[in-house]
Amino acid sequence: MLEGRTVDVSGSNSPSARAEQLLRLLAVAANAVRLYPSSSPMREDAIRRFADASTALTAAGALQLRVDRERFLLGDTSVGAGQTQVAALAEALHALQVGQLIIAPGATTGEVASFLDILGADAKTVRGEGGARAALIQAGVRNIALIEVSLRVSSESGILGMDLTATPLDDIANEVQSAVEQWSESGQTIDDIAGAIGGYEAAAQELAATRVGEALLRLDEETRVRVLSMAMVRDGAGKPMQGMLDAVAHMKPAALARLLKLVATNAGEPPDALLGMIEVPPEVAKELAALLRPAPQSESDCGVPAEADAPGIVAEVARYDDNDQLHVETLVAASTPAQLAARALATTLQVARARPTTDSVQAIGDAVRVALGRYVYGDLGAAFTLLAELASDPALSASVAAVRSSLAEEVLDAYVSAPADARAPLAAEMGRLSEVVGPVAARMLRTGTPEQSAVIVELLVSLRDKRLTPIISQALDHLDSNVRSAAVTALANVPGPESASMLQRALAHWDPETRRIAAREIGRVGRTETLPALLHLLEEMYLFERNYELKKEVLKSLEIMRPEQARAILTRMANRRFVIGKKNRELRYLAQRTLALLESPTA
Amino acid sequence: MSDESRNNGERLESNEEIAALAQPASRTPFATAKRLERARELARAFAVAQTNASLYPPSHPLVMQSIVDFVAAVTGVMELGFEDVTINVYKGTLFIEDHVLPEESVTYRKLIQDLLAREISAVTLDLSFGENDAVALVGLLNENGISEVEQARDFLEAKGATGVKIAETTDLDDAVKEAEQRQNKLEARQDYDQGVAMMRDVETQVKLGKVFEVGPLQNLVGNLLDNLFKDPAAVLGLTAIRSHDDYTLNHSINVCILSLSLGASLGLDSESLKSLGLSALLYDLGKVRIPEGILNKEGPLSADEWQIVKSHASEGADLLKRIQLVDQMPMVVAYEHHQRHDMQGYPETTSPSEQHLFSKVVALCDAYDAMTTRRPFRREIRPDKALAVLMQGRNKAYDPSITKALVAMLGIYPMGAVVKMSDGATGVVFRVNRDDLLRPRIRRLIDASGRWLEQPDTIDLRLISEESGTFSLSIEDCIPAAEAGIEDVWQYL
Repeated sequence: MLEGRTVDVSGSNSPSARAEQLLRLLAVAANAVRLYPSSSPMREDAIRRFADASTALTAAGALQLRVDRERFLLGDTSVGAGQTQVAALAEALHALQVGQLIIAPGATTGEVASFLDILGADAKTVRGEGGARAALIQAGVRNIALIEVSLRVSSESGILGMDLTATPLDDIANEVQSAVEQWSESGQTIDDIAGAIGGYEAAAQELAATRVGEALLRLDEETRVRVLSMAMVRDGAGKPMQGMLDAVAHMKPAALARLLKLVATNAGEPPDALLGMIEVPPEVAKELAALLRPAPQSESDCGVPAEADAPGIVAEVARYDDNDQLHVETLVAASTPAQLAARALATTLQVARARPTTDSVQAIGDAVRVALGRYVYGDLGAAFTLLAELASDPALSASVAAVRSSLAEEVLDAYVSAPADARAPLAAEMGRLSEVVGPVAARMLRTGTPEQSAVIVELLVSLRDKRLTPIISQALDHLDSNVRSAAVTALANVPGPESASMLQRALAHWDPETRRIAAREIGRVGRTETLPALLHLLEEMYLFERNYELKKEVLKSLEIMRPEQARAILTRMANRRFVIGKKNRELRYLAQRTLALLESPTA
Repeated sequence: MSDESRNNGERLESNEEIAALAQPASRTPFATAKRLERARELARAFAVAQTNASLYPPSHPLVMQSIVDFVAAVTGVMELGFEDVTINVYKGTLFIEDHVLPEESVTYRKLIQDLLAREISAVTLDLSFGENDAVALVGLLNENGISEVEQARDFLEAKGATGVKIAETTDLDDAVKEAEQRQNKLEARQDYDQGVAMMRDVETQVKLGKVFEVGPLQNLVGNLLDNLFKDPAAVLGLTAIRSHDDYTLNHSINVCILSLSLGASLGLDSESLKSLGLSALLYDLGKVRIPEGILNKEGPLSADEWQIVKSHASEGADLLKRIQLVDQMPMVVAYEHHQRHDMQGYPETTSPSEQHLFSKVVALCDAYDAMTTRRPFRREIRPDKALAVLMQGRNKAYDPSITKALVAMLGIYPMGAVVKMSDGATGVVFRVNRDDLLRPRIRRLIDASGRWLEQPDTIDLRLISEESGTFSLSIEDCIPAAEAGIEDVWQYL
């Protein structure tokens, strides 16, 4: 553990830095002695490092440190504060009742080892055998010295002569018991605990009283209760043993509450009867009252069973079987981002309905965005409907408008980029957004690729909103023939009068290619509602335009559709006797073929 | 702390065991009867092989057969998914891995004594364990001249045993482990205190109508999660911290920790756990909009007041709806956490038809922590009773499978529970033993006469008394910490 670690023994010139470095090494050595067997090289190594360092660092003179409970003091400067290992070292020395540690130059490894053995020994045993200093002297250690604190602050007997800030709690407990018994035996005239605590300077009285309170816990409970009961007996002037009660007031609230409760019960009084006798800060008084006074609701009021059937619960838990596991795994598997997005959108809508604010409007936008990103379209329609409703609120109309138009953009983007099979459900939810979709769609039609335009036209047509007609027309008038072609295909794919009307318009488009595509697409999809326009094309005779190709497409479509309404015109075309030119003959042939199909029994 | 007490608590706390703390009991290797039977068979086969080898020459059919049986028993355990299996002896009690075998600890006393006489407290058998290894191992235990673990190792090496390793758990291991645990505990506590401060800040911001930052809370959850994976006990122990003044703040951190632990035991991935943790921190944020007079009212609530209290769920969702671009889960959990498993709770809703998994987890952890904390209107409820209430609420308020997973994770007497033992002493549950939820490890604080001990010691209630052949100690009763006069149980964990 220590191998490979180098220690800079040159240190800083600051005495406290040197002291800190030395203490750190001493703590490391103490740990090594505690952790490794005596034969371990790590232990020897740690001891040697400390011995070497002490020689170097004390060259200017012995290092004399005061030992506090969890730290060392060099003069008034705290050394190694906050360092766990150094604090543990101080604690160990403090347990040995050491007040000062002196390290002189020239401490040998043998001396260090002996010192650390004493440090690691059981504190009670060392104290019982004459103390750490005596043990050190007996071990022949000369260059490390310990000065023990006296546990008696004066020559007075009992608790009055005891150092309440340092004496082990067990010893204090015994003296506390004696002091209370004396209070009782003297007819409530002698309060040595008040004297002992009062003998300290103001700053130390708190610590002394706290330790007396802690010491009480080292007595068995029966004695503890008896001691406090005796201390509460009042003197001639009606005052209890104040020193004891002051100390008790420093106990932790839970322990004090239990003690007061037991004392009160012994005296046949309610648990909180003695609360007023102990002077405690208001927050502690409140806590004590809460612990001692009956709670407004009992456990049975709260539906808590009188007893917990622990073995029964264990048996039940042990029956955690494959079904439980499967159930949990199903729940885990169902916790997908998509499911969360759907749930979050539904929750957002519930919240927004209850509290329609601009924040709610924004939140709907956020929830819709996340849902779109995860291809979750379930509640989008409800969201757009709610936004439409909220738009009628003057306070919200501006924010709703902003959110709707930004959503329109995102929804169209999502629609275009969604997989083909995911588009239909999205389109189904977009009806309430169609009015804001238009401008965005128009822009996308202008700038998008033919494929995107086709998708958008398909969406626009499927929305069946008359307000979108101009935009669809815009697609049919697009400069790019591919967009026009895609728009025609999209129109053909979407049933309904709007698309039929648009297709009829396409049949009369200025661009012959678009007209041909429209005729072909009508046949492919079988849009019979456009038949009149189709048949009209066959009858048209343009002087300045040869439309053989268009008529060919129309005849091919009629061949696919086989409409009865076409019989008359087809018959006329098929029966023409005199036709000039190869193309006209081809048209006649196509008409005859389609007519034959119409007249066949399977037509 | 004395060496004795140091030896007590931590000796079995291997890394595997620490990791297992995050797993419900049902997922421990010997959780089912069939699996446990394999472990018991291993102990039996080992003991029989040793006895036969001590009675008959090596070529005797009984010895040969018992060696074959021993190897078969090891194979049987390996089939459960082990790469190696360790037979532990701890304080005279036999364990396979971390699973106590109380009966075998009495029946095979000689095996235990022979192991300890050679300073062996752990025998690890790996996948390559074969008949030669078995012969060497039983031979070692019948070799009287060996009294130290080093000699035992030399013996096995000389016999060519490669599939068996022996070890002695040393005080050094314990001390290092203890130092690590102390450090982990302190780090976890720092996160906890930092979390309370953060939540106070969030509460203040929300009360002022300001936006709070989610990033620091996400970092906090990340830290708690890291610590949870490193040392589950250090983090789970934090839930023993109770504050009556800052109830809502401590409660939210406690619920976060419990939810993370439960989520981990359910097998959620790290990202999901982070989202769950954030949700568990914020699910009750709506309470800042409920007047404190109503929240802390000592008497029963009027119908109107109850309606106001119920509104905290939708109020919470309302407050959290604007962080959904960061994470949508907190809003959903805030809204759903009182809807109950049977969807008969509040806010009323027609869809979705089931609470989200995270809402179920948070609802359980919320209920448990709230019940075990003292409130102005009632005393804290003992952990075992609180768990009983949750178990009663299965299928109604709580998801049955997740409730069982929570109990398996916490134990009947969870960390920090104050218990009275059969010898009259009082202590705090220090660690839960996954293999026996009724027999945790206890930090004994107060002796039978009510005297507080200078140094608390740790007792494993699974241990068997050599004299009586039964458990040395048992839990007689679980009591509220305050009733026992114990303050801040966290310090003892």
